[in-house]
Amino acid sequence: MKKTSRMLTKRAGRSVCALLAAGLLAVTAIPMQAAAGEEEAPPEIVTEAEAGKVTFSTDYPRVTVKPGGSSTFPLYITNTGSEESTVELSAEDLPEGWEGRFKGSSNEVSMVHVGASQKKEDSPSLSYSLTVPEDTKEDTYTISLSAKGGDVDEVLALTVKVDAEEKKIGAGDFSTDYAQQEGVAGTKFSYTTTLTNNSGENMTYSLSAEGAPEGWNVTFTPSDTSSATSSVPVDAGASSTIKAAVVPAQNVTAGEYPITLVAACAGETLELPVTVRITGTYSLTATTPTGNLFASAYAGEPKDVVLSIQNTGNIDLSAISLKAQASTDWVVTFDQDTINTIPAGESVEVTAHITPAKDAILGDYVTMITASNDAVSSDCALRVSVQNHTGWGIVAVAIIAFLVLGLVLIIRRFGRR
Amino acid sequence: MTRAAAGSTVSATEEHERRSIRYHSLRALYRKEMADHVTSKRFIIILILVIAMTIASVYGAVTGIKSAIMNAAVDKNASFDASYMFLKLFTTGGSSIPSYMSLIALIGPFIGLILGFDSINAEKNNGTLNRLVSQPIYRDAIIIGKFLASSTLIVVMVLSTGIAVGCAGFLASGIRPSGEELVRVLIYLLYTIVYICFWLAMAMLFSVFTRHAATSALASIALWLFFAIFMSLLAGIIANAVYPVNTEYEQAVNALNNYNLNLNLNRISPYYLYSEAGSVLMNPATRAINAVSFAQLVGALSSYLPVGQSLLLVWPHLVGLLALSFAAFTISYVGFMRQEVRGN
Repeated sequence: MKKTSRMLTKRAGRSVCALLAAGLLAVTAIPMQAAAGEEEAPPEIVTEAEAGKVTFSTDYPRVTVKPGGSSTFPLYITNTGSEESTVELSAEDLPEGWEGRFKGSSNEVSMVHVGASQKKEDSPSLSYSLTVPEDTKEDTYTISLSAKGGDVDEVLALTVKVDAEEKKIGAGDFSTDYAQQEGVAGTKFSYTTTLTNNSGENMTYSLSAEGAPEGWNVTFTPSDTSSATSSVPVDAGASSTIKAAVVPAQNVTAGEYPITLVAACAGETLELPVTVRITGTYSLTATTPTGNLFASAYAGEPKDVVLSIQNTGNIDLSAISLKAQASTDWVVTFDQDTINTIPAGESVEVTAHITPAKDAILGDYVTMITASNDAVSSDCALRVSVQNHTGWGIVAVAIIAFLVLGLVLIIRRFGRR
Repeated sequence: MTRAAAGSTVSATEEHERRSIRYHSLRALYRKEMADHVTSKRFIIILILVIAMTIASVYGAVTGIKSAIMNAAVDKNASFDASYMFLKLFTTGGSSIPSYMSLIALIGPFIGLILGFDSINAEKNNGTLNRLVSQPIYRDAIIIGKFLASSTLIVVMVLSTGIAVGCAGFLASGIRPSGEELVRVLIYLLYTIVYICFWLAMAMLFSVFTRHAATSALASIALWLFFAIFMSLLAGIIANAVYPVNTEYEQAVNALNNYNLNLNLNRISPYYLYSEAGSVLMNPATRAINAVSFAQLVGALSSYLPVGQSLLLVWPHLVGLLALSFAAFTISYVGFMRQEVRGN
């Protein structure tokens, strides 16, 4: 349609302008559909129906403002016609002391360009901000904003109710889709939250977390940045997506941890309760308190080795039985065969009495000690070195000394000849 | 006897004088014996024997180790244990040359035999002993001096060959000994000295109780051959006779008893005792000297014994060898003291 109209414009030339302007007023009431239907219509009729309309609108034409407060009206200018134009903006009927100004892309503006066939989305970022003086009486005021220029003469009526008791239009909202998450210890939990500012003003919310246990870390990262922040600005009526990351403490035990995420601003405090569920991990380590896995023993004699059974998971372990696998005829007993419970993160010391077989040969043997319950098990390979008593060496020396003594005695007995 | 008669009447100075005479006479005889040995032709024979043995065993060890390493490099299945390399200089033999350990177990006794086989009876036959005992010296100084002089030579020879093998091996291969290896080698050489001294005592025993040097030489050589070669055969025969292992059933029942009896009979032989002690001392991987059952090996890790534990494993061997030497010397001593020398 745009193309057709442009071609027509060229063909018709300037002479059509007057006709169009006349049509513009005439076709004001004709909805877009009528224009859409033109495509099939013959060109000569189109010329008649071509007249577009410039409209001037805002989202909320009726607002309530506190005395001394202010309000901003986003303005939209649309054009269904094929003619570009520039309009002048002005406010009429502005009560005494009120301040109002048009803003367009951070500057104060007084004229605005309207493109051909401009839709609402294409509208320039135009707004009208209104400041109501403190001493304004409670009443309803009407302000007319007009856009004039060329053939355009549009008026937009804004109704401003000044009310000293004006409240927030609506409470803000702080929510997430998945408020309950679970994982094993060491997981980083991430909640995608949406913070909506339903108030009429731009707000800066400070973010915090309450109820997180010691050692936990909660950070907030708005979706449009990568670094964590503790406060986030949200425009009036807008919402912001904030990622809340919850990192549990290293040695966290299994269980449910409710945490309240709090977004607070001057006027309100929004709370979002979330729950972190740490599921249990079973982990068991059997070792010795010093980490020394070597022991020396004498054949047939018991040797005590202190073992350390550590619960390295985050769930209490119960009914842990100790077993040993050693060489034939070796006897391994424990001062407690079964450990009733080991709390998460704690360790229990158990003494193993290892008795090598009587006929064990000298040197190193491996003895496997296994601590296990239904869920988990851990092995501890001990190197047991079987030794001979040094006492036997002393016996040898004694026998040799005895032999020497015998020889000396014989020499004494017979050496006198 | 004399002492009992003289008893309390002997004054302290007299006792002292007697002791000093005894000491001096022993020292004079010891020196004379040493001089005789060193200047004798048989000493040259021993020297040649020992030098040949040393060179052969070093050559054998170096070539043996080299071929073992080459083998391990080429053949995947052949492995080479690189620990305790210095000890391997003593325990490894070449393709046809026995190791130092087995050479000295076999040849070592010969040194003792040569030094001792005619020590008493030759002097007796020459009439020099007659003259010697007429000197104002104690008679036991003669046999003690002879034994001490010969054993001194044995100590010198064993230590020098052992050190020579170590040094030559080090020069040829670059293998450096660790402290533990040196201790093991020194203990092993001590065992060797005791072992050869036993054969010296044995030879002297024969020389005391036989009239002719030839007889005592033959007797000692026969004993040496018996222990070195025939004892193991005999032990096998006896063990098989007592615990036959001819059928499968007999094997199942008797194998362990047969082995144990065989082993214990072999251990009568000083040659076997010495060899066993040497193999334990020079091979730290040896963890047992008796039969080992599979049950005993369950869970055993291949590891090396420390020196102390190896020594505890073979202390009975040292005691046994020492006891045998002392017994042989004591018998020859008593025999010599009771002999009527002048009557000859």
